[in-house]
Amino acid sequence: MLTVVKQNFNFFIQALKVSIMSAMEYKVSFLIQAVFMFINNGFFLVFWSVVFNINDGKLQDLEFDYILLLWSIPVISYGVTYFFFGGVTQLNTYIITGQMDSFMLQPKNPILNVITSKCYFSACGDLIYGLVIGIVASKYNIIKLLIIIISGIFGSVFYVSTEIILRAISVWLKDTENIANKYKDTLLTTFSNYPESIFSKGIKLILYTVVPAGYISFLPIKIFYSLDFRFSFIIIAVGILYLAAAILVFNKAMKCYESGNSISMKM
Amino acid sequence: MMINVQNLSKDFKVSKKLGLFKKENEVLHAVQNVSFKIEKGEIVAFIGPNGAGKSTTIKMLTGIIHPTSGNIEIDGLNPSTDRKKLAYNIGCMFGQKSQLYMHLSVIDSLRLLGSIYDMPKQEIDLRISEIAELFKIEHLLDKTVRKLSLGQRMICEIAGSILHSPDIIFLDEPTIGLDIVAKVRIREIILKLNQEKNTTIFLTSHDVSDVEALCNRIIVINNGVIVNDSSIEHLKETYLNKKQIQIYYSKKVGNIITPKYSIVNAFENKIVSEIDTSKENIGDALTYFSSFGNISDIQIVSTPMEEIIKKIYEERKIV
Repeated sequence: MLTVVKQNFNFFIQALKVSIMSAMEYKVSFLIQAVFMFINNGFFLVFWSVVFNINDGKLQDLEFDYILLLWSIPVISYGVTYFFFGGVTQLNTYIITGQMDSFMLQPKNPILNVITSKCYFSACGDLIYGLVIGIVASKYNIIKLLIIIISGIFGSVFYVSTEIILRAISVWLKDTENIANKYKDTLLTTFSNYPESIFSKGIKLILYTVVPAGYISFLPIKIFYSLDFRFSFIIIAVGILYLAAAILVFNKAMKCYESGNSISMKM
Repeated sequence: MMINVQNLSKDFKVSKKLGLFKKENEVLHAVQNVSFKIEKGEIVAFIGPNGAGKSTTIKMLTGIIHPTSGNIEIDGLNPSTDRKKLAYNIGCMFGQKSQLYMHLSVIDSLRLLGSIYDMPKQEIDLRISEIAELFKIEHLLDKTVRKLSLGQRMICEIAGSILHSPDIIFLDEPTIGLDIVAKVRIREIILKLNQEKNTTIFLTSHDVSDVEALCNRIIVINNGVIVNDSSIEHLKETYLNKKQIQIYYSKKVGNIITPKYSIVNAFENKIVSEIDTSKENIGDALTYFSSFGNISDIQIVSTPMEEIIKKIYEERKIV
C-alpha cells in the first residue's frame, strides 16, 4: 500500500515537472496568463471595496476581511486544481477522441494520469493571488493563515471531483464540455465568492449538496472566525464522499469507453 | 502460450439519424467469435481492410476496451481485470496515437515513460542509452518530439514502447505514412527485437510488404470475423505471389498482345501487367516490355489487401 502511494507520488512529481517543462516552451505566454489572472481577480476586490466605501466600511454585518477570505480560500482551491490537476478539464476530450487509450495502456491509475496530464499556468496567477490576499486577511496570524492555506488546498478535492463526474459522463452523453464549464464557472466558483448570509435556505441546501460551494468557502470561513475545528471533519467527510463518487463514476465510464481512431499527440 | 483468445466478441451501439430529432439505435458487431492462440516469439500479422475489427481486437487485447463476450488471456492475465499488471508486460505502439510528449525532448519523454513504469532513475538512463544504440537514435535524444520527422518519431515511439522490456509488443500500423527508407528501418528494428529478445510481436498493417518482410503467421479479419489463419508461406504461395507492373511509355505504343505475360489493362502509353513471381522474374518482364518503346516510368504494386480477401472468399466458395 505504502509502495503504491510512494510510486503514485513520484509519478505525480514527475508529471508536474513535465507539465512545467512543456509550458516553459512558451515562457512569455505563461507569464502573461498568470499576470492577467492576478489582475482579473484584483478587479473584483476593487469593486467590493467601492461598495464597502459607499456603505461606510460595512455591508449588512460583514466586514471587508470577510470579502478578502471569500477571494482567498476558493481562489486558492481553484488555483491548486487547475495548476496541479488541469488535465481534468481534458477528460471529456480524451474520452470523445479516443485519447484515453494511451492512459489506459500505462500501469498507473488512469484518473491520476489524466488529471496530472496538463497544467494551466493562468491558475498560477490565481494561486499567488489567493495566497497574497490570504496573508492580508490573516493579519499575519500563522494559525489563521494555515487555516486559509489548508482549506484552500482541500477545496480542490471538490473541484476535481465534480469536474471528473461531469466530464466522465461524456461516455454516455457524448460531449459535456459546456455543462462542466458552466457548472465550474457559473455555479461553483461564483457561489463560492459571495457571502453565505445573502442566500435563502433553499439555495443554501443546494450549496451544501449539489454545488459544494459551502465546503470550499463558507465552512472554512466559519473555522477561520470561530477556530471551531469540528467543521473541518464535516469538510473532510463530504470531500471523501465526493471523491469516492467521482472514482465510481469514472470507473463505470471506463467500462463503457469505446475508444476512437483519431490521430492524436500528447501535449 | 502468450496470447489465448476464445470466442471474443465486441458490439457497439450506434445511432442512425432518421430526421432532425429522431434516431434509431443499432448494434454493430465489430468483432464476432474471434479465437486464436499465439506462442512466445511468434511474429503475427493481424490484417484486414478498414473497419474489419483489427483495432477493436487489439484494444481488447491490451485492456483499453472491454469485450462484450469471450475470454482473453495475455501472458496469463485477463486484460479487463488485470489491466495494470498487464501493462508492465506489454508494449504498445499505435501509429495514429503518440505516447511521446510533443513539447518535450525525446529523452525527457522517455524518462517520463520510464517513471510511469516505476523504473529506477539509473535503470531508465541505462535502458535509454541501450535502446538508442540499438535503434541508432542517439542524435535524436535531445530533439523536441514535435521537431522530429514522421519516420524518426515512429522509431522513437517504438523505443518508448519497449523501454520497460515487455514480453509482447502490439504494433498498430507501425509504418503508416512512412517513406520506403523509414519503413525498412522500422522493419529492421522489429525483427531485431524478435531475434535478440524473443519478443512476441502482434502487428496490424495495411501494407502487404510489411507482412511479407516480418511475419511468420497471418490472421486475416474481415467484418469482425477471422477469414484466414495460416503461415506466411501458405499465403505467399496462394495469394501474395502476384505483382502488378504498371509501365508508362514516353510515346503511345500500339496494341501489345503477348502470350508470355497477362495484360490487365492497356491504354495509350500505359500498360498494366500481372506477374506471377513464383514462376516469372520481374527483371525479365521489364526487359521484355522495354522492347516496345522508351519507358518513362514504372510502378510495381503488391496485391491490395481487398484483393487478397476477395481471393480467400473465392477459394472458400470453391472448397
